[in-house]
Parts: sequence; C-alpha cells; structure tokens
Amino acid sequence: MNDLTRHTVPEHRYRLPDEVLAALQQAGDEDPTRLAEIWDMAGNYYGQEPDDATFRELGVEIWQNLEAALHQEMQEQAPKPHLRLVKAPLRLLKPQPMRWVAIAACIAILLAVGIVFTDQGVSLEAPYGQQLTHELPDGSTLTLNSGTRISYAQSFGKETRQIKLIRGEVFFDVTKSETPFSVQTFNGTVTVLGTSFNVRAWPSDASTDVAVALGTVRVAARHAPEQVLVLEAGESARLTDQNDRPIALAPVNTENALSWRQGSFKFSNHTIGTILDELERRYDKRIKVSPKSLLDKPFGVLIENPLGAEEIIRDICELNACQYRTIPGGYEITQSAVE
Amino acid sequence: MLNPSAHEGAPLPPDDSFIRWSERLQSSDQRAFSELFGAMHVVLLRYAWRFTGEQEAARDIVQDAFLKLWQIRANVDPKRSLKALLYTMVRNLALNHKRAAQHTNGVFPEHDLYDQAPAADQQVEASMLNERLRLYIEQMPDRRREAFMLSRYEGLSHEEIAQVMNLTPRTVNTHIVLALKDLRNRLGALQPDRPL
Repeated sequence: MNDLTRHTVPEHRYRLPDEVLAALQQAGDEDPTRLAEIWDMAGNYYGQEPDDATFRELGVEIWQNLEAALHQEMQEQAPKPHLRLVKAPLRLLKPQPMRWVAIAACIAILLAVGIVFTDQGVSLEAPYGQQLTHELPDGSTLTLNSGTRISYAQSFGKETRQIKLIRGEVFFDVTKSETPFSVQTFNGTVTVLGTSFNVRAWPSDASTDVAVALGTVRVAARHAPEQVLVLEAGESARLTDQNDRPIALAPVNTENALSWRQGSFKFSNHTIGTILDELERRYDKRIKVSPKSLLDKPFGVLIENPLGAEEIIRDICELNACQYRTIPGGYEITQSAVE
Repeated sequence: MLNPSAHEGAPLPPDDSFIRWSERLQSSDQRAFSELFGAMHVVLLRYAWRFTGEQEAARDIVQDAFLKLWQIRANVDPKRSLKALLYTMVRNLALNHKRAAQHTNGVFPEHDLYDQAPAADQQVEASMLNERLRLYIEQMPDRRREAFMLSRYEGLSHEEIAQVMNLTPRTVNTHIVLALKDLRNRLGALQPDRPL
C-alpha cells in the first residue's frame, strides 16, 4: 500500500457515550475523568490509514459493479434474479466510451456518490468521471457535471429557493413557482421563476457562464446586483471580475454550453488549461503538462461524442506541436522544443 | 492540476434518514439505494479495512454487503437500524474473509498496525503510550474489545452495537465500562495520571 495515501484519521469525533458515564457515576467510580481521558487517548489505535479519497475511489468502482448487477436484474425482469458480479478492471488506460452516456439514456439509475446530509443542509458532489442528477424538494431537477459541488438549505422550497453553486457546472430544470429560484456562484447570482438553463462557474476559470434553454433568466454580478442582464431562450452571457455587467455571448455559445449533457465536448474560445481541467473531471484522468505556458494558449474543441480523453489530447497536441504519453491514471503532455 | 477534494470524517446522516431509506428500499427504490451507498460507503470501507488491512478485500466486502442488502430489501425492517444492519453484514463478511485467508495461507494475516513510519523524537513518548494502549486493547476478551471498538472507533450507539453483536444495550454498556476500567488499571500501574 502506498504510504502517501495514508493519514491519521481524527478519532476524537466520537465522544464517550453518556450511558458509560452514567453507569460509572451510579457505581460511585473513584475517578471517571481518568476514564474519559483514556477514552480520548485510545483514539490513536489505528494509526495511519488510507484517507477518505482512497475509499471514495474504491466506492466508485463498487458502484459501477453494483450498477452492472442491478441493470442486468432490470432487463431480465426475473422475480428472483441471480445477480452476478462483474469484476471491474482497476483503471483502463485505453480510451473508452463514457459509460454514463449509455446509462443515462436507457435506465434511470442515479449515481449519488458524494451526497452528504447535515443538519444545515444538503451538499452534493458529482465524482470525477460521472454526472449526477438530483431532484430538489420543489420538483426541479439538477444535472451536475463531473467534479461539481453544490449545496442548499434543509428548508429549501419553504420560503426561498436558493442553490449555492460552490464550483462547477449545473443544468437546471426549474419547476414554475411564485418563489424565485436563485443560483449563487462565487461571483454572481442567477435568478429565475421557472425555466431551464445551464450555469458553469469554475473559480479556476474566473468566470460564470449562463446559457438559457427555455424561459427567461436574470444574471447579475455579485458586486453589482442592480446591474441585471435579462437573457431569453437561446442566449448566453458571461460574468467576469473585470466587468460589473454580464457580457452577452454569441448564440453559438449557448448550443455548446448545453451540449455536455448529451456527452459532447464543445469549447470554443477557451484556453488549453480550461479544456484540460474539463478533461480531468469528465474522464477522471490526471493530466500533467510542461511547460506551464502551454496552458494559457487559446484553443477550441468541438466534438460530438468523443471516445475518451485521449482523442481530445491528440487533437490538442497535433495543433500545438506537443507530445503526449499515458502515465498511471492519466496522461503527460510535453513540448520538447519551440516550433 | 485538479484533485477531488477530500472531506475526512464527513458526518453520518441522522437516524431518521436511515428509517426513510429502509422504507424506500422496501419498495425497491434504487435511488434510495444509491443515496444510502453514497452516505455510507466510506465509513463501511474503513470499517472493513480495519478488519482486513487490505483495500481490495475491503472493496469486495462492502460490494457484497450492498448487493446482499438489495437482494433482501423487501425484508428490511424499518424498525430495526439499517445502519446497524449494514455494519452487521460487513462484519460477518469480513470475519468470513479472515477465516478464509487464514485457511488458505495457513497464517493469520497480520493487521499492519505496526507497519508505520517511525515516530519523530518528540512523539516517541506519546507513541509508546499508544503502543501500550494498542496492546492492552488487543489483549481484552474478544466480545469486550469488539463492543469497545464499535463504540470508540465506529461511533455506533449502544442500541446499534447491541444489534450488531446480538446483545442487550445494557450488556454493551457493561462491556465498555469494563474495557475502560481495564485500560485504567493497566495504564495506571505504569504511568500514573500521565497526561498525553
């Protein structure tokens, strides 16, 4: 086992149960505080363990196997199915078609790895390499692109409908209601009454892009909430920190922005860095690049149904005089000499 | 470039979520199944790893437990703790795995508790204390140790431990009290009231 993936798990989160203290007090124990101290000291029993990320990765693998087993059950429609497990290969380096496209199309098994419920609210995260569809209490649905994280309050839908898009890209299909539905990103707010639209807000890209599929959407920068831009179906806009007002984008951007849910990979007028970040999330690959200056080069990719990350990396390298090779879990892109 | 963020020790869902999941599982709600998986797989994998010390074994155990849960979903009783049921299934599968490994290898697989980076100088005293605590915990009677560990390291309630170990909550409490008293006696003789 790799030592780098290990760390000491905080065990202090589990407190000495009240029943134990009560029993000690009842029995007139001479020193219950010493026992509580020993309870705390014993927290180091396991020492170094694999971290949560390692277990979450195993979880993705397990879920794929379970999904395969459940899928089979659904197709056979047998009353007492015999479930057979497909042992998944660890990590394929060869490009493979994205499983979720097929799954999303034919069955409605929803992958919910990464949902966390707390007293304050619900937090959702779509794992790398996967999309996550989620239904809100008001009936609106969200589709989270890979690596996206959002949260909303337990009270969602009672008086307000507010979603926090912490990072990433979400397609919203909002149920019509008198209560405005709003999405807060790191640099702006998008408000609607009932419509469907896409919000892409990666803090690493330093912009929030909004594209409207149906209805009307209002967009405003966080630091200038009164400067509202109203977008209609087919329109899109971008919020950056340099501008108080959102900038309208060409209509073609709307189509590109909405295409990810169908498995397309379409980015015009972006940088190689943005595109590689997206590849890492979408295909759960690690991509190393040198020199770093390559990341800032403008680039565009318009592919309907890519076979995998490699197809896109090959395009990038062909047009930018770079080379790539597979490394464990991903790819390494290098540029040996200046053209 | 980018790494999925880690949230070590994410809080477990409250008990009423488990009740709702049980009810939805009974009606074959796959979404409830996936939500339950999302909420529980990390803690259960960790629990299984603690038995086996192997990631692959932990993966197979948790996978089999969830598959089994889906197969028996119609008979899941929402009045009994679904959380404890999952722990019970993982525990039994992990024990089977250990037995099988013991059988084929002829050797009991050593839990690699001691296979760790050497402690830095200033940590030596603390780590000696840890070693000692580990030894004492390992020398406890099996049932007592298991009750103590489920409470201390898995954070299960007395009721949940009772369900996993097939005991009454009262007996669970007795086990934990005795475990702590045992540790106090043994530590006290060596290091009276030494703060960590």
